[in-house]
Amino acid sequence: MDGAAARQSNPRTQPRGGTIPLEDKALAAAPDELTDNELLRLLQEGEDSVFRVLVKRYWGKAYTIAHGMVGNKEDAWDIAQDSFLRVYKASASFDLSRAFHTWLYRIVTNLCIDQLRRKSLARTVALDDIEPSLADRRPSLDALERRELRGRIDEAFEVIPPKYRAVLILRDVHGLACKEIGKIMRCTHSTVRWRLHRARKIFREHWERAASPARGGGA
Amino acid sequence: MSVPCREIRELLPLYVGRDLSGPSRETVSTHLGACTPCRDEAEKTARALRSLRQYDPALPESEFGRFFLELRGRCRGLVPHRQDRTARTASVGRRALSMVRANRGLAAAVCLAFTLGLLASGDLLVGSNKASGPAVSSPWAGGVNERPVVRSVPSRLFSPVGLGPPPAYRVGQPPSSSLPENVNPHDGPAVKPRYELIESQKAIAIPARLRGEPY
Repeated sequence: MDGAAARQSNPRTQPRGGTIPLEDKALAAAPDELTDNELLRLLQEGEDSVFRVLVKRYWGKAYTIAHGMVGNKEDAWDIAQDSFLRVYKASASFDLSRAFHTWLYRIVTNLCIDQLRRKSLARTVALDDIEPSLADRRPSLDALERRELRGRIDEAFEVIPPKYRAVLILRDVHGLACKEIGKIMRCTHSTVRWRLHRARKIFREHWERAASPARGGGA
Repeated sequence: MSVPCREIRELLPLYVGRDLSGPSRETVSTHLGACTPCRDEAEKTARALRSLRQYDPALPESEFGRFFLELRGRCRGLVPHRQDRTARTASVGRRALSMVRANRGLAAAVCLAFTLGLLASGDLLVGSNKASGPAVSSPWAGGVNERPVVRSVPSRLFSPVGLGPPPAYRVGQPPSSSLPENVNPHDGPAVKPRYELIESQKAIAIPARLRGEPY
């Protein structure tokens, strides 16, 4: 009897397809411990409070992808918010057998590509990105180096076509597998590999070109 | 036998990122073991990719509160589940409408059948059709042993004078006894149709030998 009661109260032991009362879930596990798709299911059942957990889990990654793609803080912020807004609006129709992060990253990259198209593929670097914000103003060489590195990478990203850039960011910044990127970008594995190859080549060329004057000046 | 350096260098971006597999990877590895210039190239590519892994423009955690607050403000007023349900209901309605449009003939037939059923079940026909229908079984038709049919008078015949529910009467019998005393059957327009009804019954059902007999 005790075992049955414990099994009832623990959502992880329940069959995945079954309907578990929300009260039991809330009692048995904190939302932070639930998987993305479990959170999505709760959201579909009307538990809006779990949306915060999902956002907290992915807002940084969504922002990083958007920043790499569009190249400035304001647009990256807006795109990250738009992406979560779309997730919230379409959560009821999300297929729980698929991975949430794939869906989210696709929304982010599509929004970024749309944004770049609107701006005629021109990445803009805002003044705020050049001047460090008050929160970032730490007298640390590490922070300065990081900011300089970020600026150089942003500059190199500017010359990479958006679709290649998205693949490069997803693979080399976020470490996603090529198959996953194929699902996100809705293209084949070979296409992903080709775009990755091209993007890495372009990036390396510009990285070295940007690094060589500094080296020359330092010598 | 040996692969040219140009071809090997083409493969380096994928090789360094560990995206090359199978015999191609083996070939590049073997070549790099023997060719110093290509090994230097591979090292440069790897350095560039390593810098990419340090790309972290992520905002500090303290910004999350502001981010979520703004997002919640934008989500406010959006209730996805209800919205979708409404949309689903609207789409069901649209689908039903398009089905009706596609089968107009069937829809018209259904509407006609429904209207006829309504007319037949209501009291619209009681005053005219039903009164003449069962006249065959009335005693005026000559059936002596047949029981007279008891039926109620349509309410609308009495309703204009406000006399309450219609009384029951026997077909073929003079209705004077069932009429209230203060109502003259020849006066009001409400009573007139009742006599017309009786007259029409007589015209249809009274046999010739009895026609003209006063009652």
